[in-house]
Amino acid sequence: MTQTNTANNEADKNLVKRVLNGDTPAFTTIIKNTEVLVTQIVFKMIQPNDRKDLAQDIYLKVYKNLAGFKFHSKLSTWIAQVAYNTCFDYLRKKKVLLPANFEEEHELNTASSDEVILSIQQKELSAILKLAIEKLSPIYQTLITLYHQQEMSYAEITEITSLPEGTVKSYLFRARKELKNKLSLKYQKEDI
Amino acid sequence: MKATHLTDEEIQQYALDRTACIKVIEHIDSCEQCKEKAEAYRLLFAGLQQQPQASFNFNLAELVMEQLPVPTPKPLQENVLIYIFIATGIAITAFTLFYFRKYVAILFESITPIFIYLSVTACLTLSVVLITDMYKNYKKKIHTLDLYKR
Repeated sequence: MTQTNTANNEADKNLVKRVLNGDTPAFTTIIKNTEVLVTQIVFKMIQPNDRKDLAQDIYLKVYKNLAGFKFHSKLSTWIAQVAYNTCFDYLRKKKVLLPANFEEEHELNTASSDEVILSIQQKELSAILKLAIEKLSPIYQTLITLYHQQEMSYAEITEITSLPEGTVKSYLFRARKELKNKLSLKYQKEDI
Repeated sequence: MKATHLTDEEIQQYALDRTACIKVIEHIDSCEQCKEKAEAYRLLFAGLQQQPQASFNFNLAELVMEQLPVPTPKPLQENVLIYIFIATGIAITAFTLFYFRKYVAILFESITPIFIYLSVTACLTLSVVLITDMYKNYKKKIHTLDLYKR
C-alpha cells in the first residue's frame, strides 16, 4: 500500500514537473487522473447549467497554481480541494443554504419504519436513494459521495473541505440519518 | 450489556464497522429494534456504495486544454542577444583583469590566502542562492503571464 502511494507520488511529481517545464500536454494526464473525483464534487454541489463552466474553471485554477503545489498532500487531494473551494465560493455567491442553516427536516421517530426499509428491493432502493441524495444540501451530498462512494478517509475529507474532523463526522452522521429518515418517510407515505 | 437502546450514532458506527464496536454487539444481538435499525443503515450504506458515478457528457480534458497556452519556443533572436550580453560581460572582465594584472597581484599579496578562500566561497554561495531565487521567480511569473495572455 505504502509502495503504491510512493509510486503514485513519484508519478505525480514527475507530471507536475513536466507541466511546469512547459510540457503543457502532460496536463491532460493530470486531468484524466483526477476527473472522476472532481466530477463527483461538481455534480453534488452545482446546478446542471453551471457545471461545465465550473469544471473548466477548476482545472484552469489548478494549472495557474500548480507551481505553488508543494506535495504536502496527494495531487488528487489538492485538486479536489481546489474543486471544493471553487464550488463552495460559487454556492456562497448564489446564497445557497449550507448545512449550518439547515433545519433537521422530517425529524420523526423511525423506530417502526426501519423494517419498511428492510423490505425494499435493492434496485428500488437505489433509485429512491438517488432522489433522496439529491434533496440533501450540497455539502451533505458531497461528504456522502466522498466517504461512501470515493471511499475517502475522514482525514482526506478534512483536507479537501478544510472542515474540522469533528464537523465532518457530525455532518456525515446527520446526512446519513436524514437519508434514512427520508427513505422511511417516502415508504410510510406510499403505504398510506 | 447496555440496558437502554443504542443511540443513532452508535448504530451507524456499528453498521459501518461491526468489529470496532464490541461493546454494542451484545446489545444489538438481543434487541430487535436496534438490530433492525442497524440493518436499515447497512442497507443504506450498501445502496450508497452502489450509486452510479456521475460523469460529464463532454470531454473535459479537451475543453480545458484548448484554453491553455501553447508552449512556443523562444525566438532565436532573443537567445542570440542573451549570449552576446554574456560574452561581452566576460570579455570586459577578462580584459580589465589582464590590463590591470599588476595591480591586482599587488592587491592580493597583502591579503592572507584563507581570507581569499572564505571571501570567494561566500560570494559564490550568495550568488548561487540569489540566482536560484531569481530563476524561480522568473519561472513563476512567466507561467502566470502565459495563462493570462489567453
